[in-house]
Amino acid sequence: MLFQQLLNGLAVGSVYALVALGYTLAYGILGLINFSHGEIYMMGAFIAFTCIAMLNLNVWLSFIITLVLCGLLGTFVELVAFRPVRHGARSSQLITAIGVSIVLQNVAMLTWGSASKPFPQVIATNIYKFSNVVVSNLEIYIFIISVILMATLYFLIYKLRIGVAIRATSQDSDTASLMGININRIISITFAVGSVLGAAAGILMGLYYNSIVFNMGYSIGLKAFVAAILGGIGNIPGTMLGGLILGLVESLVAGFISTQYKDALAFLIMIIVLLIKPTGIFGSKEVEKM
Amino acid sequence: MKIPNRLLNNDYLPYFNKNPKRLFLLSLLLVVFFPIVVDNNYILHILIVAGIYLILAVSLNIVTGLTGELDLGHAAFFGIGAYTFSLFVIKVYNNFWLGLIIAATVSLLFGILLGIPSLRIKGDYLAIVTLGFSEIVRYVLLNWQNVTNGPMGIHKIPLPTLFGYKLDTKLALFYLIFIIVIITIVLIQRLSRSRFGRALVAIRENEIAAIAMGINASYYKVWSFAISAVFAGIAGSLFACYMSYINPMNFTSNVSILILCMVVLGGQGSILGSVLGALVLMLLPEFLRFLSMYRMLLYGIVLITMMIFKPNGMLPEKRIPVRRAGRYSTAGISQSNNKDSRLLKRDDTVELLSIINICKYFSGLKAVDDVSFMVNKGETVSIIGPNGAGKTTLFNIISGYYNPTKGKKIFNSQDITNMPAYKVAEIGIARTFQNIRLFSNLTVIENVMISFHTKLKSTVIHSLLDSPKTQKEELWCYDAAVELLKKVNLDNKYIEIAKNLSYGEQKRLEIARALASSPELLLLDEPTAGMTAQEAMELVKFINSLKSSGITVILIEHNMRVVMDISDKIVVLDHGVKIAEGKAHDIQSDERVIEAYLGRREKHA
Repeated sequence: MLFQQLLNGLAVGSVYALVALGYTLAYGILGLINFSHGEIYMMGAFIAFTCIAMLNLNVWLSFIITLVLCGLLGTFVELVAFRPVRHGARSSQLITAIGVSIVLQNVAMLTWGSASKPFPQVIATNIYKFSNVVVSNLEIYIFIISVILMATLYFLIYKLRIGVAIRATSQDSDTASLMGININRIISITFAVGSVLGAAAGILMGLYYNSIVFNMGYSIGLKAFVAAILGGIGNIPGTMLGGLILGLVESLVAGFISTQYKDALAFLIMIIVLLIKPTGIFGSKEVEKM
Repeated sequence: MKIPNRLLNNDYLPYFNKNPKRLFLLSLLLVVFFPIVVDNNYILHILIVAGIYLILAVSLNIVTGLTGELDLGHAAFFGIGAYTFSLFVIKVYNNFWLGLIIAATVSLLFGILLGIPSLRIKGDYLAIVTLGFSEIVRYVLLNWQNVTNGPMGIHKIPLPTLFGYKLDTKLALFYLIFIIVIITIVLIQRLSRSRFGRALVAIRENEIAAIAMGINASYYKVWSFAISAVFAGIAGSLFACYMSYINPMNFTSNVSILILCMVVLGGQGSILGSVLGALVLMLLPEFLRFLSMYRMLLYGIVLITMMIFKPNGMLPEKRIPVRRAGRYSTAGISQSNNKDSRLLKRDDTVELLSIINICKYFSGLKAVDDVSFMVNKGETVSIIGPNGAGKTTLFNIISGYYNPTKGKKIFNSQDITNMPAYKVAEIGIARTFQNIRLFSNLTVIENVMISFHTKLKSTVIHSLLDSPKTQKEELWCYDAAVELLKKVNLDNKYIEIAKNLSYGEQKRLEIARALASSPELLLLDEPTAGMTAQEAMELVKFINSLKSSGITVILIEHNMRVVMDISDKIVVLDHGVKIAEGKAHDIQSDERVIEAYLGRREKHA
């Protein structure tokens, strides 16, 4: 039972982590709580659905098209909505993000309808049983693909030249621009990267749950935001762990305490963690110099 | 004292700004006659719901606009109020007003509960805590079946009865709800202009400086959450009794976000802004109805466009204190608050402050190590030393921001070693900061008015009732602020926004602010840094005038001319240790001081 819950938690948690990374990237580089990020995840699921089920394209080609389109969508949103308010108050940035979220949700609803759609089962589901633990091949794929994507991101941010530029920009964009870094380009790239991860998460969850709906981005967006905060928003390894921890906690609470209060307890645990560590588990301590 | 018209007249509503009563009367007339003229139940319904959201938006503005904490969980209090009210009138006793009071009280308690995390958790992290809190409330409403009836909600909530008449028409409910709406707006508007409201905006603008003005930031933060919750609870009660049916879906975080949008769209901190924001967002969907399916799409686009073109909202906050020369004279107030008398008793043989073996370690780093010295009443003492000597840390210990690792400090023969910073300010130690900490988005005069905080005694209740005591105090406070600004030559700048002042002016404003509490001891952290020689000399003159009025001054200063000019005593720190103490000429010839500044002299054999 315990092992079973841990496995389920890892699969869902790794998807939370993928989405949460989008939050962390946007927050790290712009200080922006990108409430619309959940919608990119939803768009990922729907674009893949359109390519496979409606246009009958090859599965892998569909996935690539989805990731590219969502990356462009993220960049586009940053360009038209977030760039104009980049130097505005934090709350007006937040409202802009909420506006973007409403727009994207309604675009999806008008395009694909408000009823939920079956996501094409392009991967045959196999169930493996080890004594009393049940695992599906999908869960294993989800976990492995998420880990590969996160490792790629880690490599990109910490090993590549572009990653140095991204980190420099998030430390201090003015100084970074003095060092010859094109800030606008770096921010666009960061949004593209975050959106690609979000879209990948959308595809994975579409495969996992079989059904997609235009407002599916909201609750996962919220969860991912919690995961990012839990780990310490802006901190990439922290966010990854935050996602996994949230998935595990939810799954354990559902298995051992109560399914009804699963989400409530997840939030309660988050509040308690923040009371102990006010900037998340791996967040850096903010010291105001006097 | 002529106020330029440009500043009094906002670019919008110029007519009403001259006389806010006109706006109030106009809205009152609208509320009374509009429903009679229109006489359409559907429109009344929309307006009633808009009115309830208006209360929610205005009350959220206390936390989000004034205190400046992003709150994504206001719907929780809306729900708590609605459920408490419904359960009370159905199960306990069917009385509208009693139900309202009970609901407001329960919301208040939950408001305090949510306020407590705000003492430790800040910014975006706090925002997510408020969101989490409201999600928890929603799940409890959803799953506590035998009390809340779960997702089915509560039905048949009785309509209110007033003096034996059952209010069962839309029109009657409209009037009842709008009376409460108007009262709410007036009360919160008063609150925002009061001592309480000033304390909240001070915390928003600069929490550390607010504490230095004697504002107990923790107390005010918790109360801002609590008061905001009370009004949301009232809104919830009205919603429950108007709809007669509630369920958990009425109180999702989407509702919280909608309320937040109203506040930000209207203009954070601006009460009238919230009113407008609520009306626009509640009525807009109705006007967009002809677009049918596309209306939410357009709604989102409107939000984005508004934030791009009006990032501070439709009616941005403009806090310009107005001198209300009312019926009451200020006689009595200034007298009873006058601490100046004790300052006249200048006596430099009486010790005012003793620092005894004070140490401050930051995990191994000995920032201040075993420093002791004494300051007598009326003395001017300079603390000097190279960068990193621990001077500012010492100031932070004296003013209570840091608790010393070891040692004691005595002020006026009272042990203040573990006294919180706001208390230290209250008992007569004021300070300025090395890097200026003004309430930068507020006017010069309000900066000073805030610093009269400890001298005013009006409580929240006084401010809400706008009692004679409050009116007198406010008038006194305004006049005293103008008086003080004259002393530092800023009286022609008093409705300028603080951040637009020149550097020297900002420094002077900071000193004026520190003087407002009539401190016995004034701590000045590098007062002449960044000033021209001319400005520095004027400041020296000013400090000397403080000295002659009996104020004891300790200053950290790098400008040695200033130090040698005005100090009765100099304390020299290096690497956290006191290396010398004495009169100016002794210090100048002290071997260790010279060594600390210039390095050791090579000894040639």
